[in-house]
Amino acid sequence: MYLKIILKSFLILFLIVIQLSFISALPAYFSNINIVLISLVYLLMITDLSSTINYAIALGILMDAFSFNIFGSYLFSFLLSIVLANFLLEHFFTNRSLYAFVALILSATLFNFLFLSLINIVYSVFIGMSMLSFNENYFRYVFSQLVLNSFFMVVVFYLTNFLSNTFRPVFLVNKKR
Amino acid sequence: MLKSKTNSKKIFIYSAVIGLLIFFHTLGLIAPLEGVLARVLSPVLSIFYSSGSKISIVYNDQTNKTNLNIANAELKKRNRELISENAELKTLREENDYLKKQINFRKENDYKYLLAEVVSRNDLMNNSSEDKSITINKGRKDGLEKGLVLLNSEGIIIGKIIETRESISKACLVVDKKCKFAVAIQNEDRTSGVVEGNLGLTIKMDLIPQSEDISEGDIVVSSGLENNIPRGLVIGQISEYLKENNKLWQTAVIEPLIDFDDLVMVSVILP
Repeated sequence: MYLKIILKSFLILFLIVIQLSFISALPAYFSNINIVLISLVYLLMITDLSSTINYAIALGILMDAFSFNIFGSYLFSFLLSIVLANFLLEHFFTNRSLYAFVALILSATLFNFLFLSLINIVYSVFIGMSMLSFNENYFRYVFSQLVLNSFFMVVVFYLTNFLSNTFRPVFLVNKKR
Repeated sequence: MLKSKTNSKKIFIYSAVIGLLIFFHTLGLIAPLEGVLARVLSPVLSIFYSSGSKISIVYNDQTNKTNLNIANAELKKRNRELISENAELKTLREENDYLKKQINFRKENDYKYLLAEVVSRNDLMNNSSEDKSITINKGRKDGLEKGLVLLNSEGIIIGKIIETRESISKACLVVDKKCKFAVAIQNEDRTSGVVEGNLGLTIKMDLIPQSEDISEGDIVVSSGLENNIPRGLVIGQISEYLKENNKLWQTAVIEPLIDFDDLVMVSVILP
């Protein structure tokens, strides 16, 4: 039990460190990968909503602690993106195929940007200071993150398939007597 | 029925925890906790940032390899020019030292520095090419405040602190549009003005009167008109200027003299 909690905490801290320092220092478009969101969608696929929400809260709080944006932005955007992604997973995707993975990461990334923008707009209405400027560069950034997150998700999917049978389709064969 | 009750209870607990956290953060009650977290994680963050930065440098070197020969020839030429300029400046420094001693002048670069490590770059919320910022592992408790200037190891201005927390601070880089500096051009007229970042790549200086004589290669330094930013710190070099007779002002494009991918350690000039 305690070992599980310690391992989970290490995983959360590791993801935060990788996202904040390693990925942010990578060249050009590679620094746009959102490894936290990719991990959350992956966790949603392999576990359930309840445990993914726990991860989303912990990761969101830590991201907010190191960010200079409005406290709670990442927390809310991760949480709501995961809840909506779970809704799509339950109602529209019946299996855990590559297409479901890519579709889910695309929608989660879009939801994440949408919620971050909404929080920012609400904040700028009340405080009068905007952290985002919705120009061509911003939308180029959104697009590049969509592409990179999807690509990374494909890699993660094939890696999981290579290492385990979790996502391999199971066929029920009707054996003739 | 039982499942729905458990779900409602869970949602209530999650909402309460999140609400309390945001409330405590607004009151500043969890600031010490955030500070401890930042201090504990900052060595690890620095190591990972440094690895990412090295990959970035290698990647950029590979992409720029084709221009290496041309750049090498240019650098050799520039080196020869600088050697001669350096000799001239050494003579001037000796002369200056002598004069300072004579009038009992205070040493000009007697600044108080604070070394800080870069732990993160830009922000995941908006990592577009225009927004250029870094996060350093020193904050309010180390005496940092908004507006302090950041230098690299060669004493060239990197940026300015725009926000501080207990143990970390955010600084905008000189190429960021939000980063503005009061500067002077080292030309005959000592033209002064304000520069701001341009598209995350260069620095722009607007509103230069037509009567001022500027040229490519002029060095741009801080003018000393801003609080806590000493005079004479190098920002960049004019690479291009636009002078049109039918306009009131001329514009200069300033090339920064540093590679921002190479930033791992910075020094902050304290007030």
